Amino acid sequence: MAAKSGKSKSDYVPLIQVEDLHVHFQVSRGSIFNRERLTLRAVDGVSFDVTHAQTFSIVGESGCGKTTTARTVLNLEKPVAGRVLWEGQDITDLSEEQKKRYRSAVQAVFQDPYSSMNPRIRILDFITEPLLLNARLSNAERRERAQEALTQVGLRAADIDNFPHEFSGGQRQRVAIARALASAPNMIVLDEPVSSLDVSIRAQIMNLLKDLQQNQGYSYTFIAHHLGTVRYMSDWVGVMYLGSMMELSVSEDLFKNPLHPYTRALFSAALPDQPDVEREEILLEGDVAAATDIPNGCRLHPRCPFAKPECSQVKPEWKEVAPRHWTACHLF
Amino acid sequence: MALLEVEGLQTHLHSRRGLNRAVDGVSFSLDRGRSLGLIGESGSGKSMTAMSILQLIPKPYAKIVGGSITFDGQDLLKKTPREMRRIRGGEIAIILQDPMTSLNPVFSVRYQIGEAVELHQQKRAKENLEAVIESLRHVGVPAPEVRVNDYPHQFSGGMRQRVVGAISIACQPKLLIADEATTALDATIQAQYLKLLRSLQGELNLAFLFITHDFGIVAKMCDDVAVMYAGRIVEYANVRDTFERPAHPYTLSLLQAVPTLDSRAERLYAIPGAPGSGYEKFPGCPFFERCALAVDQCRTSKPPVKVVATGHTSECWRADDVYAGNASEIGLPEAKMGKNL
Repeated sequence: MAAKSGKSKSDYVPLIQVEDLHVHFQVSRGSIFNRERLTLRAVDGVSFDVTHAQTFSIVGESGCGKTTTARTVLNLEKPVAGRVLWEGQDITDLSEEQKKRYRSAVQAVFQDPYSSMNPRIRILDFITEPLLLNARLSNAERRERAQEALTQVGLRAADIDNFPHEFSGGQRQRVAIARALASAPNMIVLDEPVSSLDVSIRAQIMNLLKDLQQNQGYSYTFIAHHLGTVRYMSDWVGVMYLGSMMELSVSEDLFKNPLHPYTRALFSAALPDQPDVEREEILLEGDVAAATDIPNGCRLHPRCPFAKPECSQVKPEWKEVAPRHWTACHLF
Repeated sequence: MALLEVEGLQTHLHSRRGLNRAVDGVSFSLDRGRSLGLIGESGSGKSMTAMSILQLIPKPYAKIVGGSITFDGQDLLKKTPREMRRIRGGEIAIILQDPMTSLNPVFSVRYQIGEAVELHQQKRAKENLEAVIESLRHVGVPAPEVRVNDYPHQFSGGMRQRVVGAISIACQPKLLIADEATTALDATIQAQYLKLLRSLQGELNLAFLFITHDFGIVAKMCDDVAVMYAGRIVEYANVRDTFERPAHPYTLSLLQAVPTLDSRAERLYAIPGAPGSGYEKFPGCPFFERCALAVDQCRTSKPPVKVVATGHTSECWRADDVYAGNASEIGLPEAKMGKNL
């Protein structure tokens, strides 16, 4: 079931292993007199590994469960089934001491650098807040760590006493990255870290993230919808649709040879990089089904142009159809 | 004669931060049935240009202080507010980014599309309903006779944006302004929507003004491209020349800063600094500080508008060098790496 990236080295334990993860939410619909309780299956059987010093990316459209997956890895949501392993250990049964370690080892950077910062807090306090977990550090040491992190992201150490409004959007995102770095993490979850930035700033941030990875060996779980960005950033890519992983492979294999009809449709819908570029056109019919009412069999079958009768009956198996290339589709 | 002719447009904003020359001398023209892309980053003045055409700028902070806007032979800046109301939504329509905020949640789609038809065409109730259904059919809403009585929340995101499209074409406009109209949509929905806009353009002989930050939209939809920076159009060309032979360092740098789906770059070219805006005063070129090709002249004196080829202009002292393709040798080494791999 699980896609074991790098399983060939049998003794290698990936930094993070996500195994058959299910995250459900209870929602209600209808008037107060006629309320219906429904289960929204936001994440419905997702497995992947995040290896050391590499980037695993999740792509998919809104509502596919990519952010919920990331939040579960961050231990902000509880799975109803499946588990997240950190260096082989289930994150839901860590001791208090280990939990603290996990929280500094796994950091996050979110999409909007405006809403993720309190405008009344100096960036010194913003950056050092996660360091309060570590009671042994003195104030002076925290300040030093924060200044070090600031210079790592290309800002001046002297900026430390400024307020968020004194920074531009791109600089704020650098500050958010500095906060993640200050805890000396192993992994950073990056949830659409560049999509709210100006085009000319995006490249700065992406290059910064790549440099940090190369020099410091961070692992990234990267969530994005812009496919060019994903190709540029990733070592591994998983494609999600309606709570489930449709395809997973080494990044370049996936982009050169997408197999699953959903992946192909997603690629064909991407905007061209040049005029007169004609892509293979695979149009999906209709809209994404509701996550409270996921179709039987393959969840894509009502929209898939290649659907066969069995697609509506039998759930396709997760198979390694080429070396290090997994997909769940009856065509393979 | 061109359908829309904008000449030397200047729109200034007064805010607590001081004077912002949001649009600082913008000129372009657009023919019937053609598409022009206004591309730029935040603060470049692209939306303010569109809003100046419609005179929907935030008065009294904003003021059109210079230039002219001629639409279909009429001088829009001489129109009374009442006459402008006839033109807005009638002859010139706009689609905004977020369909959730352009639609009113408490009125049915029938009412919201019908309102536009009633204001501009004074049809009887029955004809009005027919016009509403017809425009819904045009934008590909299935079963329009039934859906016409639905409310915005009963439509999915993509369908909602189609309803916004239906409002804008209900009065058969001549010009449609799309201000980041597909930015909030998912990729597959965006592809469907752009396809729809294309076919509407063919059917209705619409002129399109696309306001966007995305070169992909421009590549897919536009005939001509105007690249904006700090309130100015710094480069103007047809779409193919813009991509293949840019003549302004800003355009060239931006194109190299965007990672593509079709190949993997080893390293992207990152333009240093942050986008300039109309708040700052530049004695020379506004892009000077971020430009890899800048020379001393660029700091001290305003660059001229150079015509590098027919219909292709660039506001840069070194436009000829850039156009000739010498750029990579003279200062954008990283960019070249990014492009060829």
